[in-house]
Amino acid sequence: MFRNFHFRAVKTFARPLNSKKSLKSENKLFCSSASVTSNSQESSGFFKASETNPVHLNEKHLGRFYSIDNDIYQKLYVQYHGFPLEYREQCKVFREQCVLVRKPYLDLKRCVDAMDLKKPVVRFVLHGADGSGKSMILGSMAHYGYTKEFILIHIPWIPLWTRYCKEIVPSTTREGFHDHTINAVQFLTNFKTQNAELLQKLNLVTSKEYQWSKREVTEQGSNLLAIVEHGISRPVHATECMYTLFKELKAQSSEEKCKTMVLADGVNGLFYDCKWIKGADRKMVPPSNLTAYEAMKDLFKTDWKGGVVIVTVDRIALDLEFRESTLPRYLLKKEGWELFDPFVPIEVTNYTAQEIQTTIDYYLERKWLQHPAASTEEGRLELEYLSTRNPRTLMELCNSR
Amino acid sequence: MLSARKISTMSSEVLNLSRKLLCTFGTSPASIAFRRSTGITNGIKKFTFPPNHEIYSDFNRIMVCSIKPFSTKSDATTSDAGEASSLIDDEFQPLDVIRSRSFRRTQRKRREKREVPPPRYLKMSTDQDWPSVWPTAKTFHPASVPLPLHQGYVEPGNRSPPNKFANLELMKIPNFLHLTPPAIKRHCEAIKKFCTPWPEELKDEYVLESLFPIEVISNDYCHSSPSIRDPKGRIVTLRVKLSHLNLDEHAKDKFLRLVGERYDQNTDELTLVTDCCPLKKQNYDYAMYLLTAVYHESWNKESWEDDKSELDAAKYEWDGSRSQKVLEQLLEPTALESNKNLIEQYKNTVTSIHDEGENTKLLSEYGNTVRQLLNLPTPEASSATSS
Repeated sequence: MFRNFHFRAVKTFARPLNSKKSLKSENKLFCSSASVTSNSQESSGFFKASETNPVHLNEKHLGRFYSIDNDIYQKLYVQYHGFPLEYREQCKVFREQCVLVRKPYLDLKRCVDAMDLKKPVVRFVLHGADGSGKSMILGSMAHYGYTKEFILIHIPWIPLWTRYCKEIVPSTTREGFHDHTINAVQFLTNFKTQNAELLQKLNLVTSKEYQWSKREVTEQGSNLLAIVEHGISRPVHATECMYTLFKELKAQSSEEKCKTMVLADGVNGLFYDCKWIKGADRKMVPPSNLTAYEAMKDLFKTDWKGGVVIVTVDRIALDLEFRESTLPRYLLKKEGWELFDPFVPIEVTNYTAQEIQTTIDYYLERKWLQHPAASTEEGRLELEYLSTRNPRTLMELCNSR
Repeated sequence: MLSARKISTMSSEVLNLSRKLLCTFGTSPASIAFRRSTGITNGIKKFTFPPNHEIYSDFNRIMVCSIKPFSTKSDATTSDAGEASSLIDDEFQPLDVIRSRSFRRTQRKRREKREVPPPRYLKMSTDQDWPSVWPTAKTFHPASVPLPLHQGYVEPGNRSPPNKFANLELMKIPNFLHLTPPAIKRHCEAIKKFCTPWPEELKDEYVLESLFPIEVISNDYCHSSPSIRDPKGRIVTLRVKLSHLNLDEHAKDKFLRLVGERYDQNTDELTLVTDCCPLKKQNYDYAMYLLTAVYHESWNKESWEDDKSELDAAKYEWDGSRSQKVLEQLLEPTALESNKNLIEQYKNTVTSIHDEGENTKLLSEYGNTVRQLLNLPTPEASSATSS
């Protein structure tokens, strides 16, 4: 009986029509979230951790929400799918960015803390069921890396480079290779937004001269941002710039000039043929002939120091016929496994009983769940059963659509 | 009295009329009416009306004045009134056009009801000899089986499935009513005199297997049909355990690749089924030939077998693999020396993940080993320190 009702999303707030005050506040409500968030009332409650610095998060905050500062959120996540779209939409409605502190996240954070940056990079592979929160944890790690002054190489959702890729052109520098243009520009733009300040501060310079074409040269000793700028302005060179940037960062990190954090979501897509990627002869381009793929795979190797590689394997990144298992050996195939081996697998499970109650509490507090039965014991149980404690299913259940 | 007299006068009038008519036509008035209606009369106008009393008078009037008299057999007819009435009754049978109910009842013949004897099972005693009631395989017969059987599908509800009488579902399935334990016992007793005792030495399973490693299975079929041959009788199955064959590592690998799915890993058994020849003997010879050929071929080493790459390997080899190289590159030589146990554990987990398939438990084991090798906190330890 309870199931038949739909949970209504709070998009308009109940208000007395005649009151002038409320009309004013309404105008405010429909402004863009960026301008409003600073003076909006933020959620508070037992489920909300007062800590906003991810470095200080520990077991005390396990199973509670911590909020990301709006400026950082805008910088890291909004431009280029840093968090999943559904979550970002929800953030817009809630006018705050709260992330649940979960066990795999704390585990990952502790490992990154304990890592010796003078040794070759350690690879972490997040795996788990669909919608269990792998991308969210990966995104949260970007916040942590940002706070810890890592240079972020954040490649959110690899299928954007595989089946949803924008444009493929033959490479100008490499024989037989193909480049992504628009994707690479998007990535570089995002890289610039995320890391410009830090790059200026660290004053990283190029180690050698790069000749992009006859007249376009990046001099030795110019800032790394010059490569990024060139890539953004010349889409044809964007992938090459990306590769060069990665090589430079690997070298600089190995020399302890900086720290680099590589984040990639759905890396298993890189090891499968993609029928949508076609060359000039209308034939499929194999993954080994794509410059962007090579650049990313180069990052995952252990031939550099002073960094950390955190990736997720996701079966949704693959075509329908390769979705039999969610475990890394199956998804990465032998080729991918051997590239990552030895890695630290971190399993992201569904919510625990406590976590799902906290999330329901949070939705209730934000008035996202408005049905009178949602707050009752029965309603909570029903939500728990219907969602099977899966975070994404819970989110979809609580959405009005 | 009045009515009686009227009737008598009427009858006398009728009699007079008939007498006149008889004089004229030499026949009765009804037959004249019949003739007229069928149009046989010559020179007479056609009239159609029912042959009732009134027409006779009319008829009299018209006919007498208009028709010429012609000679008839009037001499032969009697002029007696009593005789004329008896003549009408005899000649005019009632024509039953609509077949009245009484008429039909007499026509129908009743079919004789056959006496159905009561089913045989009602007369059976409880201590009867069942194997002699049902000695051989035959189709189910409801009257001779004293069991309240029900078989068949009915719509879900209160009804039970149809009972055994005229039940096709029971008739079309093979039954084993002739194979009751006492019947089998009796059969065994009967053929016991043809058997010899099992050798004492072969009672041990292990000895039996070592002496006779090859198991050959074939079937003989007996039918009550004109032909004594059954095409299924030719099929021969040969089974042998791989451990009984003398094979080294290369030979075993090649042997398994050659036999393919005929080898069962769980029981370590090779099963060859031969059915391509028409006779059992030929199939048996062919199976033995196959076994010999595969065995000797697996011992041969061809030159192209040296080209076998890592991808062709049946099992994952960690030693010399990329995984080992990367690990040696990651860890310093001192760490490699001190962590020999861990590396061994790592090797085993990686091998089993590749060979047996991964699962969550194996993966967490793998993760823990990697964490220990790379000096990272394990999830259990870290949660313990925090609490």
